[in-house]
This record gives sequence, C-alpha cells and structure tokens, in this order.
Amino acid sequence: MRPYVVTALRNPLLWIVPAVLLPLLVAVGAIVTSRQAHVEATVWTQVSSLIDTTGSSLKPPAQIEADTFNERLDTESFRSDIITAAGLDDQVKNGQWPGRSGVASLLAKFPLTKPLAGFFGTSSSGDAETNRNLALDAVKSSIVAEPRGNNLLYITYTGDSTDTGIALVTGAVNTYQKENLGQSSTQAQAIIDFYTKQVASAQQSLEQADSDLRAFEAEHPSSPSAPRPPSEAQQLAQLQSTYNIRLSQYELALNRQSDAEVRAQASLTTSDNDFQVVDQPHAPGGLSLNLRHAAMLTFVGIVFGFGLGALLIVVRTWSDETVRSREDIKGLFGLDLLAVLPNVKKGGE
Amino acid sequence: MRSQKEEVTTLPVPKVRRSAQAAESQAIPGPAREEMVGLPELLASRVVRQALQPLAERILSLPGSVFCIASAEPGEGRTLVATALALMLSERTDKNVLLVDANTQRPCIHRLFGVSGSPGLTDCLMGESHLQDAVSLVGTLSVLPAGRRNDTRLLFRTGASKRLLEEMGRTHDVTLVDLPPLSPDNEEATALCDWADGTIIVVRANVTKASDVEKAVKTVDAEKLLGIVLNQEEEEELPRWLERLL
Repeated sequence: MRPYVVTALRNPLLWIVPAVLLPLLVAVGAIVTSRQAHVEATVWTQVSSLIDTTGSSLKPPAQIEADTFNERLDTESFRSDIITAAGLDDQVKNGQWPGRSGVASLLAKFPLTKPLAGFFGTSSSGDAETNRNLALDAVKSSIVAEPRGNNLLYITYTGDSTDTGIALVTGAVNTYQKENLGQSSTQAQAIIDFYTKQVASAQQSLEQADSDLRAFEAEHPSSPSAPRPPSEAQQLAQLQSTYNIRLSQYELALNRQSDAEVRAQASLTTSDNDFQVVDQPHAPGGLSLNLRHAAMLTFVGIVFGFGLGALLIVVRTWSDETVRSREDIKGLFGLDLLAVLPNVKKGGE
Repeated sequence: MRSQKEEVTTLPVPKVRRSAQAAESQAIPGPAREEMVGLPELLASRVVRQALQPLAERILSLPGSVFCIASAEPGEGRTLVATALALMLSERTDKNVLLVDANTQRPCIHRLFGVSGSPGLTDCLMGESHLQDAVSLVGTLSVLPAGRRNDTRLLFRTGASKRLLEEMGRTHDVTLVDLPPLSPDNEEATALCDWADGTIIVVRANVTKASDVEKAVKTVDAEKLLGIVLNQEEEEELPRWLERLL
C-alpha cells in the first residue's frame, strides 16, 4: 500500500486532475441535461358532502382533494385516462414519449453525435407495452397535486417538455373533474333510487291500508239510526289510524324523494364549482435545473474521478521500473548499499 | 521532507583556477556544461559529505587503491560521488588522492576545478604525456583530466590502460576514476573496471531503471563490485496518522 501512497504523493496531479476534472465535466453535463420544464395549474376546490369520501372533516378541502388526486394517480386507469386526455396515446404508441434519456437528448443536439443518440434512447427501442408502462411511470413521477391553504390546489408537472407538461396537466384536471362528476352522478342516482324505493314501499302500504279500510266499511256499513257497536267502532278507528300513518309516511317519502332529486341535481350542477380551475396550466418560468439529479450525477462523477485517479496511481506504480529506494537496491540486486545521498536540490537550492 | 537548504554551507569547494590554462580548457570539444550545474554547491553540502563519510572510510580500509565510480546511464551522479569522495579523502586524511576523469566523451572535471583539460588521461594512454605531467594539483587533491583526444576508446582495452592504472596505484594512495556510463558500447568503462581494484555503481533514485542497473552490474566483475550508491533518494515522510494507517 505504501508504494501507491508514495506514488500518489509524488504525482499529485495524476489523481487530482481526474478527481477534479471528471466531476466538473459531469456536473456541466448534468446541468445541461438536467434542465426541466415546470408546469402548474391552480384549482379552487371545496369538498361537497356527496364526494367527501374520506370522512375527515378536520382536513381542509384542498388537502382532501390533493390526497384524493394523488391516490388516484396511483391507479393505472387514472394515469391511462390522463394520457388519453392529453392526446399522447399516439406518441406513446410510436415510442416518441416519454422520450429519450438526458444523455440521448444531449447527443441529439449536435449533428455529429446525433446518430449516437439512438443508442441511449429509452422508450424508442421498446415495444408498445413497454412504452405504455414507461409512459404510465412518467405520468406518476411527473405530476403531483399540492394543497396551498384551505381551498387552493396546485397540480404541477416537472419533466422534459413544457408542451407535454401543459397537455398532461390539462388532461389530469379534466380527467379528475370528469371522474368527480361521474362519482357525484352515481351517488346522486343511488340516493334517488333509494327514495324511489321508499316511495314505492310507502305507496304500497298506503294502498293496503286504504283497501283494508274500504273493505271494512263495505262489510260494516254505517247506519245513522244504529250506532256501531264499540268493538266495531274501535276496529274502524284503528284502520283509519293505520291509513293516516301510511298516508303521512307516503307523503314524507314523496317529499324526501323530491328533496333528493333536487339535491342530486344541485350536486351535479355545482360539481364543476367544487373543482374550479383558477389558473389554466402554464409554465411559470423557463426550464429549471433538477438539482437532485445534477447533484447525484456530480457525486457519481466524484466517485468515478477518484476511482480513475486511483487506477492511474496503481498503473503508474506498477509501470514504474525505476529504482526508488534503498530497499530496492537490496531486494532487486542483492548488492551492498554503500551510501544514500538525499535529494539536496529538492530542499530548495 | 526536511529542507536541506540550511545544510549547504560554505565548506571547501573546488578552488577554481582562473588561469590561462583554464581559458584554454574551454575550447576542448564535447564538454557537458549541464552536468556541472549545481555540482559545486552539492560538493559543499554537509549532507552529501556526511552521507559519503562511511564510504570514504570503507575505501581506505579496502585492499587496493584504484576504484572506479560508474553508473548505468549519464547524469546519475558519478562525478558528484567521485569528486566528493576525492575531496573528502584528500582534505581529511594525509593520503595522496588522485581523481581521474575517464569520461572522454563528456569530460567535465577539469572545468569543475578550473584546470587545463589537456594533457590528460587519453594523452597518457597515447604515450604523448607522462602521468606526473598530466596531473594537476588542486589543493591537496591530484586531478587527471580526460585529455584532448576522444577517439581513443580502443586504447582502453590494451595493456596501456592497465599499466597506467597500475602506475596510478603506485604513485597515489587512493585513485578514484570517474567513468563514463557502463554499457557494452563503452569499451573504456568496462576495461577500466576490469583493471581497477573495485567498482562503485551510482544509481539515481526514481530515474534509473532497474533493468539498466542489472545490465550495468553484469558488465562488471562480481568480485570487484563493491556496491551501490543511491543518489537523490526522496524518502517520503508520510504524516504519522498515515504511517499508522499503513
């Protein structure tokens, strides 16, 4: 080990140059290739009772909406719908999106290296299914919903292209709205169906009570001259009471059904208002640097730089055939060491 | 590494003679001025002298009196070692010491001491001069320059060189011969090693390849090979924590 350390100390440039240059080059490359587009849309949201499925009334509406949005992003069907809504299906099918890797993009910028870009491509070399999976992953990794305050929701995209970002965020907002509307519609229909059944049941009970009352009156007609016997009068009063109850139940059911229909209609018509796009998808600034990506690549550059430096030191040590020390004299030639003159000139003369 | 600058003192250095002979010596073809850069300062360095002190004492204790200072490649410090040893022995002992410049292709010792480059070793080999006439006295040290001729390689293989070395051995207590690099092409180097009583090889750390040293060692009779002087060793002093770690 000592010979390598000595070689490193004697030839500092041999390892310092690659250890500095390589990370520097990688950092520059990372800065060039790690620039990302940033697109965002601002949404105003209020969670209506019909779509509040989380059951948490403590969370602000924007948080609930963001959680719901991000949970839905976990599903492939939602992401697939976003891709379709963004109009990227054909590009995914043809392998044009998610696109090339950063290295491929860099190579593709220069005519001389353009032919090499294909070797570093990602999706273009895969089949349709692979491309689809890559696209689904790209949607998952590039889009996120973040709450700002109680009612504002930011849906952001971070990726390669501003145009793609705008298309994806637009697609995501539309898909989410559409799904919310569908969900509200389903819930409203379920409530209407419930009260319709209630009305039908109440109506049936009312008709039965009416039929029983009429049958009793037909069987026991009243006479002004002869009052009904007490048992008969009591039975009639009971039947009339039952009829009244059934009638009120029927009327109540009818009212509830009517209310439900009104509320469902209101819910459907105000669903858009619960998720209003305040700011359409746009790029607030130019391309931004992906610091994490750049830092990671630079770290890799540092590791490889030092590795290359160490390799050069090892090669230099191995290839050095010169006599270096007094130990070499005895070890290599087996001769007496008569004297050792230090390097006086190096002392500064 | 500890700075050696303060170790360089004004210890005796070769006294440069600014004589007419010295002026004449500048005209000798093929000198190697670059080999002399910094040499006087190194010769004055206490560190160098301290490092060579044990070797100087050992030379005095060895049988024989003619020793060659050789190396595998040029610029490894032969002249420094030979000259420093010669100066130390001549100054600190009462021995009659002769320093011979046998590097006929790139002579430099005459410049170092400011003496005439001719007559010298090659003139003696050609029989054009006697040894005592060719030797210059610099302080207590006798110096034999390389001589004017540089086409006398084959002469070194003849009995003339053997006789000359024997004469040096007879007339001086210690003779140190600064050889050209040891290689099969340098006939004079290998020949003088054969006639001398012992050979010291100078190796420059971090410069001389081990394979070249091996080749040089093979050209010298193993019995006459005294050992190696390691020049310009850079012993790295690692931080204590690193030493412990290693």
